[in-house]
Amino acid sequence: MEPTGCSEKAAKRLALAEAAEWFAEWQAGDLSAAKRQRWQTWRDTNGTHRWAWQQVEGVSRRFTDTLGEDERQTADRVISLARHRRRGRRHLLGGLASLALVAVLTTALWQNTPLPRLVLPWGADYHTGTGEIARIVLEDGTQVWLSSASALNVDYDHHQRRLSLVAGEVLIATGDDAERPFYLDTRHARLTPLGTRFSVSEQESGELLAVFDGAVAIHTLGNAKHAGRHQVIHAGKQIHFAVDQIGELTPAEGRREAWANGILLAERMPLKTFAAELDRHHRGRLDVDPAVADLTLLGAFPLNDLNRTLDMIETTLPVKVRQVMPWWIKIEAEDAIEADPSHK
Amino acid sequence: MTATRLSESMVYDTSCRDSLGQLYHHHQPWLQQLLRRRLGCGESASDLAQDAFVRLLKTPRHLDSFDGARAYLSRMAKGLCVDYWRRQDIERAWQEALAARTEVHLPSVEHQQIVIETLCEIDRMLARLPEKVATAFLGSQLQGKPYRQIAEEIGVSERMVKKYMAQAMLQCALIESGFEVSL
Repeated sequence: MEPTGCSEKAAKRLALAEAAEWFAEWQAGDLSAAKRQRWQTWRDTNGTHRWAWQQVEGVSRRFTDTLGEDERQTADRVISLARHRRRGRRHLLGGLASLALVAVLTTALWQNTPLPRLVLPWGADYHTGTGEIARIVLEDGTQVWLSSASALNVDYDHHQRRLSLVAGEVLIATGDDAERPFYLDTRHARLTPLGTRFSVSEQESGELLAVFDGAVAIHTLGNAKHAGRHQVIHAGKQIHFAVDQIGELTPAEGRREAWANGILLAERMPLKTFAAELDRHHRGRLDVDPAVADLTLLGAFPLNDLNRTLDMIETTLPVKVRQVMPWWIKIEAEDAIEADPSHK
Repeated sequence: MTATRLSESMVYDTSCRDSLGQLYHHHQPWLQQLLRRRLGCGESASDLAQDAFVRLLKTPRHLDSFDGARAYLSRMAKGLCVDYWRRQDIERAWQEALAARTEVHLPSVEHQQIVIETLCEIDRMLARLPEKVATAFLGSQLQGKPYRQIAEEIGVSERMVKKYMAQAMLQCALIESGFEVSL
């Protein structure tokens, strides 16, 4: 398979991917004579392939050259332990600032969230805790931002680049790779971006896709009653969809990507929507009094600084922020405290 | 105020000794302080600051302004800190592993340094990989575990282990061949 029509760099990357696959075959230990023959042909008939195989051997030698047989066992334990501790630290820094809060909220969470949805994210390849926003760069240069309390699986192989959104919200800027198609699988659909930047988030029912660059094709999964549907969404538009339906096109909202920079962008947003959005990024509970729930907000607010954001709301709207409990905040009408005698 | 004036005219070419000397003179105290703030340890900060200039001596760079030099040095400081913490993690885990060993004779200090260096390199290459992928790769490469055993230990299919192996090797090979830099 001589690479034609692609740059030398792309050919080298492709050869490395192939070499890595052959390596995995070899390590499995049961390579048939026929497969060996195919490997030999692959390696010997192409200079780039030979180069790629040398790189793989180079990596392999790092494990064997300096470490003695008995040291390798220890080496595995040492690296695993170091990785484990580092991961623990990252989680700790990621937002476990108030441990007490977690304990208080756990009961509530277990009652409100169906079990599989809670357990699944922790088994995923990448996941974020509440209040965390993570940026991940994949091998093809694809950039992924994972919003608060979200989880994503990454499954790249020689033929395709497949991500699956397990929970929450994700913003993706796809990298260039002409050889392998890119998919994002969600609970309701398969999305095929066509060189692009887009975000997907779980909604109460279904999901919301917003496209900022290029275009994305939606193929909903369909169910017993409805066949799957197909539609291409272009830049500047957003759309709601579920397993069996695709909604109306509306202009893409800036806030669907602003969160990746830690900003909650309110473009004439009702206070109740604003609070729900803010709530997703913080542990604890944030309630809005129905009397002020429909007041609208305009502006950019920091997602990681709750106190400042609440201060900003207090100064722009006729509302009062009240801390009912250390972990429970209520936004109510400015005069509610005096008017409602039930408040202590 | 000197900073503002220098920012307009300063060009550093670290292949030239005089220019490197100037760079050192203008930025070393600032860099050391930046590192001390990050690491919380003065001695390590001064070591790492030296490392930074040694690197610039070995692989010369052309830095075209005072601010440009600071931006470059601050990026480099970040990398040096990540490396420093990585090494600390590995050294600590290594010491613990040694302490748990029952044999009487210990490997020589020189050999231990080489081993730790190797472990840091492997750790760096695997830094970007998800947990299960790294576990599978280490199990196979260091302990020679068969795919079936790895599959049982991490709770995935053998087919998945093979995919993990290819994924991990590709990541390492991309770094090995200079396509990507390690974390």
